[in-house]
Amino acid sequence: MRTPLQWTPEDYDLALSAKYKRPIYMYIIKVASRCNLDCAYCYVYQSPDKSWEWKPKFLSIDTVSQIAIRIQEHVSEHSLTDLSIVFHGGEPLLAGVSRLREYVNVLTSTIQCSISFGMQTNAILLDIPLIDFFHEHNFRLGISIDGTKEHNDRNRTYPNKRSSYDDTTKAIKLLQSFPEYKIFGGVLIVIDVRNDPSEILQSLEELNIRGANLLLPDSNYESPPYRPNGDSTAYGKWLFNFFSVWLEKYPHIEIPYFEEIINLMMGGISSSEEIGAKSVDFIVIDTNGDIEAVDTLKMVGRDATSLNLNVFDNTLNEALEHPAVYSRMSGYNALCNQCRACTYLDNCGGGYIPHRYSAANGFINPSIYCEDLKYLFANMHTMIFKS
Amino acid sequence: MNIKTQKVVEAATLENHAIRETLETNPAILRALKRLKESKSENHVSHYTKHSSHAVRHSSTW
Repeated sequence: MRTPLQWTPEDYDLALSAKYKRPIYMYIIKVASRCNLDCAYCYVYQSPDKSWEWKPKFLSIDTVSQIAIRIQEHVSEHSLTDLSIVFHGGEPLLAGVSRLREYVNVLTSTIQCSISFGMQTNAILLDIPLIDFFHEHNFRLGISIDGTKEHNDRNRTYPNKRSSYDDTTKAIKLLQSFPEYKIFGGVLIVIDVRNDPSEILQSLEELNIRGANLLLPDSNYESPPYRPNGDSTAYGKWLFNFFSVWLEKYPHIEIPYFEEIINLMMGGISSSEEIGAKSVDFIVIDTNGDIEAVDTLKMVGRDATSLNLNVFDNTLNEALEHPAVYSRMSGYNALCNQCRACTYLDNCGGGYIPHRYSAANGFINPSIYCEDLKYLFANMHTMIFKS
Repeated sequence: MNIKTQKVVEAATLENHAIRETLETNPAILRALKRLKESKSENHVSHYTKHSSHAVRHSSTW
């Protein structure tokens, strides 16, 4: 498939795309294309890709039916016994419990294998009927919040700039009032180096949150991250500070980002798309049925997100033929020479693909956070291992 | 794998990677060890995406 962007290095052997190809096990389905917040760092609404403006506000029954048909084709062809479906957006709760119930009914009645459902949400619209629905269908929720009120208010506000913190924490507490439901997976925190890690961890403790993951801001060589005093390791230092405090005082809180790095340091294989170059076996399907490799590529632009594939016209196997998809299944073979020669290759795997983009080289670069990650790995290793 | 064998594997893994003694019973390290074991299973799949760090039921989560 032709694409204007460079997804693989010059020496990439196309035979590898067939060798490493694997089925898609996780489907990120956009059920809403709008949001009730206006987060400053959002890769959907603050990005060069403005396709959300013309996409349906909600997933229609016709589209989810076609999505279900395509997934069942894939299940049948690859003999899948289980898969994951994550409802996403925009803000997925805007779809409302009636629509969400219809989506689940269509998907479960069409797809003939076990489905684990999940949702990533700002949770502001969470209410008891929704909580009951999530419990009924064994959902797992991830909620976005960046720390204390001060931290959260830096970037996560309503369109009128009003704070969203109280509404989010109210929703978290409502969810926690149903402990027997076991729906709450944890929170997602976008890193802002102006926010103190100790204060973030303390806020998690006070909210009785037992799982939290960290995300580096969506930046690349054309849109580099904020760096105080131009410090090339500012994010590495911030992450190591967080890691140190966490390991000593809050190890009962699960933080997948660090736990995956430790796993990798001990010779394991990553479960995360952001670190470790493990084969990435998921795709994103938008409200109009468009198939995308990963929607965070919106920060690069439309050329990166659009595969020119849609569930009404194309099978999911066709997505596996696109370099945006098979490059992420090819492990280290899709990385630049600098990454492949790096001491930390096994820890890093080139980091997260959107962070590798430059206009000159496409995705064949080290991560824009390369120095940060090396700093983090070196210091984590020294802290954890004897030698 | 039974409990006795599991503990042997964990001890061997710890020894091979020489984790500092002060961290050997740290809950975060033990969870990472569990991830290590799970990642070696033949049908291991990606669980965590930027979209769904906790929106996926993973065996090691609470």
